[in-house]
Amino acid sequence: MLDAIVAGLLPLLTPQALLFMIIGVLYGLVIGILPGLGGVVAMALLLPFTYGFETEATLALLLGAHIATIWGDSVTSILFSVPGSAKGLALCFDGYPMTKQGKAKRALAASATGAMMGGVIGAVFLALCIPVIRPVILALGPSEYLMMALWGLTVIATFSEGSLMKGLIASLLGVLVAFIGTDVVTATPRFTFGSEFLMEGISFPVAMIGLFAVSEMMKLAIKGTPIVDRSVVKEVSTVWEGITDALRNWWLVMRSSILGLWIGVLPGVGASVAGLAAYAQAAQTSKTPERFGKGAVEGVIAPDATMGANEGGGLMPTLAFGIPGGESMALLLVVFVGLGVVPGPEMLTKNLSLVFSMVWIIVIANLCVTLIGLGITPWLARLPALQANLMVPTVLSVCAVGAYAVKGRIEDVLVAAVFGVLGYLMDKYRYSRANFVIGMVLALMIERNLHISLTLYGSDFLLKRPIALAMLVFVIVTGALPFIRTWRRRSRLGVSPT
Amino acid sequence: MSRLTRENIAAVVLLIVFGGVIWLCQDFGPRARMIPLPLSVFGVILTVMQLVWQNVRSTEELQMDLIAVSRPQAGADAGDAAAAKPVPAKRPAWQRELLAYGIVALLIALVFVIGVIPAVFVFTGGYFVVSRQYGWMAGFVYTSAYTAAIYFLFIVALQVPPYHGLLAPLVERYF
Repeated sequence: MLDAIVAGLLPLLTPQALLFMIIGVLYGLVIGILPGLGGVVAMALLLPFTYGFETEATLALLLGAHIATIWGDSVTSILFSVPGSAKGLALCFDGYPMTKQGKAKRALAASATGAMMGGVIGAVFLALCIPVIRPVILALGPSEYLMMALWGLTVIATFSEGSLMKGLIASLLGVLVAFIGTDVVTATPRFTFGSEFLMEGISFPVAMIGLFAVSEMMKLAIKGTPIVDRSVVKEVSTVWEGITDALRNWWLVMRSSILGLWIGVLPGVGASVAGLAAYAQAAQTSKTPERFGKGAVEGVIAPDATMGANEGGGLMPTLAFGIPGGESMALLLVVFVGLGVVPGPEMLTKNLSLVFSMVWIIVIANLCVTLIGLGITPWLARLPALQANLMVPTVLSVCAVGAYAVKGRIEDVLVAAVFGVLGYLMDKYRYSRANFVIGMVLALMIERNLHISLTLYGSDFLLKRPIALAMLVFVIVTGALPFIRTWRRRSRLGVSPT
Repeated sequence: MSRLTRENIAAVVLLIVFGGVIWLCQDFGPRARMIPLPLSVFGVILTVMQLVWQNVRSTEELQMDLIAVSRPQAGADAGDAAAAKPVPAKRPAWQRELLAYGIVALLIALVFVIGVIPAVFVFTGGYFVVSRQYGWMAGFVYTSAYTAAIYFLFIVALQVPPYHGLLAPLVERYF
């Protein structure tokens, strides 16, 4: 195994591989920052350039770009509350409040360092887990995935901004919006009103552009001042503070990374769920959960560490079984076919050095992203102080182009605008936009896995799937934990609950 | 219009939405409505509870509800308090809000009429000039550079097919 580790590193030290890695990382950062575009788009656009080069160099280009988009997403989430894609959503919850408090440098640096630590931990665990992961993956099925999605829902209580009832209503609304389109299980068109456009459903990145980017720009146009008015709020943090935050919270990073790796290993769960689940576990296990949603640095570190580690996890089912963990991994399979690499159990025996090359690529790309990210953080932190008259037209117009670019459908621009107005009204009347999006993300996953579980195991599927039952108990316990803590704190202080 | 009235209107709109979903679900098969139907019924119950709750509490407690008292109170972002310092209003709030809706509507209209990239140029340049962020000349230069960057990134580098709006017949004829 040691030979394979060394043999995996050597082809990456060639000038071609290193150059490809740096190009991929820079390109991925730009794509990640653009609204609506994420790792899948970054990889898809690189596909034509993947033939005729060394296998390792090609993979360095692709995976480097993909990994860089993760931090690119985080940047806009933290600075403008505009997630580049679904993955960056969890970063808005505490990253954006930190920016408004003049702690943008700290948030960005913590995010970059957290992502790097998560990526490295994820890659190391991946390397260690390679021999034992196969039976674990095979032991899990749709019932367990259903429980994972339900766990993501427990985060709703954290974002209800003073009204859990409104938070629940918002998440229900999000769930119902996700059901617009053709039902994948029964092929029934739901809530489409005969529209061909709606048959495909509401594009998730487009809804995100509207709910967050467009509505934030509407707020900015109304307010007429920058996101951060430097005459009122000075930048009070440093890059170093962010780095030390991530290092100080090493246990949180470790937990989040393992969670990210675990979610990555499960095919079809996705990094957007990973970010939310990481945020949920960070808030639920914190001694001061009331700080979350108001600028807690742990709320930035945990999702980034998870998403960093998630990529390593996603590689496992892709390589071991040829089952892509997500859309980007499906693209990677296409590249494998072009390069003549056959994924499957033999990858972990005959092609082990190539597997370790990919592990090394994740480590090196994460280091590159973090170094570049920390270097440009002082400049990025100035962006929220730009005049509203400069921000509103430039961001709104790039949102329109971004919404159109997601699928090349002009109707999506209108959808983004509708969701923008909806997001603005939800924010105004305190119906949490975050809960709406969480509902949207998890709805189809819950429905699909529930249907499959019922079909495979019947209505008492929980009794037939002990792992799922154990996970359900875990979901209930972690979901109830914040309420129990609050109740105990109130009891200690002798505060009446009414 | 008071805050309570507006909150009530929002709740009634939600009630109509959830009610509409229940009605639409009747046309689906049992499996297709297995999740949306109970959820929308739950939505109706929650919205009615919210509606009742917000009308029996004092106006100051509008953002609080029955369940919230048993959990950690998140409240508004701490940063909001500092960053969202009230600005001396030049126009009444409703006018500024209407303006924000108008800005979004204008951009969408431009995209549909003249296409994506020309809309970026006209909207951004127009906004710069009308808001007096830049003069005519500086506005033109910055807008041209910005539009060129967007064009290069999306149309050339990312190969997004351009949309020409109602001008498409002209573009197809002459370009």
